[in-house]
Amino acid sequence: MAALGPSPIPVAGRSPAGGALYEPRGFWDIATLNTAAGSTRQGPAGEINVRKLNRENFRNGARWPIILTRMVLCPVGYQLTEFDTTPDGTAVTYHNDAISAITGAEVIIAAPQRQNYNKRYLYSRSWVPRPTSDPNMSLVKASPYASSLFGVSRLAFDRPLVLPSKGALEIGVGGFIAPGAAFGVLSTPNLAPLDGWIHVEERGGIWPGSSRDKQIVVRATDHPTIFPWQPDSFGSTAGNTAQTIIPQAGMFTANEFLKQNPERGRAGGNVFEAINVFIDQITRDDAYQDSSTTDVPTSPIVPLACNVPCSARCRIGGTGEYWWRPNAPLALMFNELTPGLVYDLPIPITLTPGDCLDIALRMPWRASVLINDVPTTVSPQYQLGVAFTGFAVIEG
Amino acid sequence: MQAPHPNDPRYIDWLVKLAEANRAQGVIEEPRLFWDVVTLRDEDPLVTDYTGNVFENGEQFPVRLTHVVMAPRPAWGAESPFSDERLIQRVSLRLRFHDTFYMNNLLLPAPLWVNKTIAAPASVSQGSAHWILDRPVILSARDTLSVEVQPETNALDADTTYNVAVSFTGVGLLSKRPYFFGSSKQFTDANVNSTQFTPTDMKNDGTEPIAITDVGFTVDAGDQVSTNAGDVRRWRFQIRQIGNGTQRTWFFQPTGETLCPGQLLGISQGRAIVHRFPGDGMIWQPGEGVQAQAAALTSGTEGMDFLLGFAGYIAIK
Repeated sequence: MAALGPSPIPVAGRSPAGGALYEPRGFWDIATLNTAAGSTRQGPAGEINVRKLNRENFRNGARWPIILTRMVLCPVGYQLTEFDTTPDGTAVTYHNDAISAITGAEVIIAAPQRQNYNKRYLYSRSWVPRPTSDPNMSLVKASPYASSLFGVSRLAFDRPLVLPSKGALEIGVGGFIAPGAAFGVLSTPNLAPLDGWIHVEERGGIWPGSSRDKQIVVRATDHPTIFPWQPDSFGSTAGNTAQTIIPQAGMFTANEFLKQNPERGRAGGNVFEAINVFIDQITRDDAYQDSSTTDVPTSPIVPLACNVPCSARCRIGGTGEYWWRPNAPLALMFNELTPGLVYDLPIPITLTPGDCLDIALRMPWRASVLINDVPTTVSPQYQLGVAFTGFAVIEG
Repeated sequence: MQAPHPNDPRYIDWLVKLAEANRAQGVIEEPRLFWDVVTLRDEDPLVTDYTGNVFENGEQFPVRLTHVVMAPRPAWGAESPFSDERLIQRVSLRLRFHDTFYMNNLLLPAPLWVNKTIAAPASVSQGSAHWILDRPVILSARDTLSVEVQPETNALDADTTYNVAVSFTGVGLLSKRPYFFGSSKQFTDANVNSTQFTPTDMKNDGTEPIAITDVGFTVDAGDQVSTNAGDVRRWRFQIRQIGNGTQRTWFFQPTGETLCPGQLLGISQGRAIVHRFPGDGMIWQPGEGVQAQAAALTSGTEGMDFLLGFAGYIAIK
């Protein structure tokens, strides 16, 4: 058997004669807006439903340029994709779902003191995203509530990552915040650990490629304060008090990565192209059907990729820098297969060393809805992740 | 040259040049899908035996495989275990070729094999399967495509009439205009035999060869259901070109079943797990093939039938 000649996909990376190394990169932040009067999470006065994200989180602090090719928007911290219930004046029941956060957001992107990428707020719902979703479960009669069909998130590198033959990656996936008492009583504990896998694809060999894999455990944690985001209006539940954001059980370490090198002794580097993370949340989805809160059963459940943090970097070879600020939501950085909305930037943005982006989000405000025919002001909170992903060009 | 995306304006030009080049050199390229049912074990050892000579190129010409496709196969009828599509998450798999494993010597959960987005809009996601062929099939003048369809055992409800449709899209090699072929049939549970779509519906009556690029299957939920979201898993299909081409069926299963389950045909759009081999895929010379091993990852999938397929095309000179 032989593959048909050289791959049509150019293996851009460090050639034996030298050249650029391409490493994935991403910048991210979470915008949280609580529309309740007097909330400390309100935006600055004037445009009180605008969240200006911290520009330092979008600054290229490295020594090499970073080219950003995609923008990702993803609701973060929600338990349900859609929570269709009659509002009762509490934040628990009005817009306490992922759809409300993501369809209401509008984005402005600017390079400080230079130019705006767009001068008007872009409605996320009118800018066509890439197809990145699992097959839909909403019309499946037996399980329309299911979070997804495959439970997988995928990051495909813009440029293949070429590491030396003993190069290694380190990838971590963390836990999640379990919902609090407002979610209702569950007959099955919702804190049970879930199975997951981290999978890294590489090219070469008698087959067209191979992979390195690690089985991980994804657990509930009760520390919303150490997460970079807050729980939704259902609150949080005491869970694993000893857990850090990304525990050892969720790490694919460099040592474990090296042990699976299928090409030991082969001359030249290893070419890595993509990472998949799989989380089996079937049992958790089914357990959510036991909730005693009205309309929680049968409501579509958010994939855990929106609620678990992740990190990644090269440990041997490469720069050794984290590819993105650690503890980003998985769905925000894994932009090939994700429940988030992924947009191709019409023209990539290049951030030279020291450059940064100013990102502002305008989010929905409090609303007046009819409750028992009485106009009532409801004050929901919204939480949305914004990320820009691409690659760094590292000169050899 | 890598094929442009079908939405790329250069796609039709690329297609026509490829077809003309093949015709000039006397090369025939035809789709192939090798598939089988792997029954997960429910006792130790949980890992199945290797599949032996099931996935093997038994023809005289090389076959290029570009995709691996996998999906659960539910049992239909009064007792229908394993109907939950999500159970595919609890199946693990590895492949072996010349004593080398793919993608890892570990049995990997099926979702880790996903590297292609094949989700269709929700309204048609369950009831359709679509394959954009890696290489166009040349339908010469007066050629036709023979398409058979049959429901799965016990898959049809009583007193219900179902509509099943097949469609092909193509491009004229001389005119470069698009061509659409399609046909539909009705089924009830009283007629569960294999049936052929009307051949004249897929006949090239024109004067120019047509490069067939896509094949799609669409089914409905039957006339007794208020929401018409069908389920392509209830149906099996087979295709063969009549006229030129190899005259052989496109979908191969080594024993017994001649028609391929519909969920395996959603290689470009459907609900199966689709893994595209990196680069140009892999070539099976005559007699070459792969072996597969599978295992249930957790309780709930032991004893489940798991469909595994390898899709690509044969190249004949």
